[in-house]
Amino acid sequence: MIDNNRNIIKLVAIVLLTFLLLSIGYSIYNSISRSGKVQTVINLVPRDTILTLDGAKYKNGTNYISAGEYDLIASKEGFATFTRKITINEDSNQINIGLSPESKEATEWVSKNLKEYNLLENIQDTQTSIAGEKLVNQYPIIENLPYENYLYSIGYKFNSTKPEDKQLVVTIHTSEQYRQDALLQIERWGFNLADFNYEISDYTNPFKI
Amino acid sequence: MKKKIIILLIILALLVGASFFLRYILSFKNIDFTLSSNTSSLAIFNSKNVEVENINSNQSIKLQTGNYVLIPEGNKISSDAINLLITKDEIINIDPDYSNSYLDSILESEKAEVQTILNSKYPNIINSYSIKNYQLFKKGDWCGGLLVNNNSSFNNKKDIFRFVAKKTNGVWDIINYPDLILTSENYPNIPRSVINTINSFKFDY
Repeated sequence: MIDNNRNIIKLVAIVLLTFLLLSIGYSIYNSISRSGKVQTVINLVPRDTILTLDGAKYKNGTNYISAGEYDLIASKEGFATFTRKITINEDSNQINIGLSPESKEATEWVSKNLKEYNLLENIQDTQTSIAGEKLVNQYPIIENLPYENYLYSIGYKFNSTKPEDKQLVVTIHTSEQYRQDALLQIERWGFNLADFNYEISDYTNPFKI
Repeated sequence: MKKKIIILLIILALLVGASFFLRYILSFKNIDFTLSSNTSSLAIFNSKNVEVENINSNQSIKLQTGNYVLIPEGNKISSDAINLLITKDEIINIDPDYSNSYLDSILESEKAEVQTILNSKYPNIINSYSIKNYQLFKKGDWCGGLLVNNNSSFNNKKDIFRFVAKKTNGVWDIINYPDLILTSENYPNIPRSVINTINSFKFDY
């Protein structure tokens, strides 16, 4: 009987020790695996959207991702695939994406789940979409430039030859009659006008004279 | 032997359960909410869009780590959602801007003063322009709009200028040269939301 009790005590001690070692090991593993990584919250609508950063899959919710630049692809059958270059760092640690429906089923799904899109829009108001982060550093507008039609032309240049000082300047060539139309075109491409410096031909601000 | 195995399994199960329970308990953080005098209540939604709390005074509550959306309510304030990411104990001040309806209700009373400031700053040219799309922002201490040339028409469009004014100590002042577009780089002191809204103003002839 006494031997039995001793054996049980030994067993309990071994189990406790094993559990303690496993817990410590798990904590150390977590610390190492998460070391140097940014706690990043990913919000996807629909929730089962497949999101990859440089090919690696990530799920909805909290993830630990190394800081850096990535090629982001978000896709789901029936929805338009979303791609963009993004930067993950301590200041930019949220990814919020709501896919646009393409198929009839997807459109029906969206109309029944507008609440989820509204919630995402509210989240995006502070974090903005990933496309809103420091566009001047990414220069995605260059993909649309130069652009010319019979009313105006929009181009770009850099205002410094040094790579570290480079700043994009959007150039607009047109008459006074169509300047607002040229700016509207930039908005139609999905860019925020406030993110750029501009050089507008034959323009003098009368309020600065 | 069989008895030992059963005991072993029970202990393991208890330990695993205890660790999950501990992890669950530790995931809760103390969040001190301070509501502005205009905020009568604050609804707190988790990432699954489920309301988890509703507070109507300054108080400290426990919330799990994760993403939340806060919806404030009050007479004058905007009910625009506020995003909150909880990772640690912290103090959150809820001080929403005024609602669009309230700002609209006090708009006309401020417009005359802003026009006076424009007249005094640009006496030589301001008479050639009219204020359009005038709007108040934030807590009624920012305003902006368009200056449209009086001789402008659909077939003869003139430049449209955007201006921003700030009310400090009860006095309005124009804080930028009215310009075609407001940029964050040129006007880092103007809130981004104000810049974006004024840049989005369109004038229909």
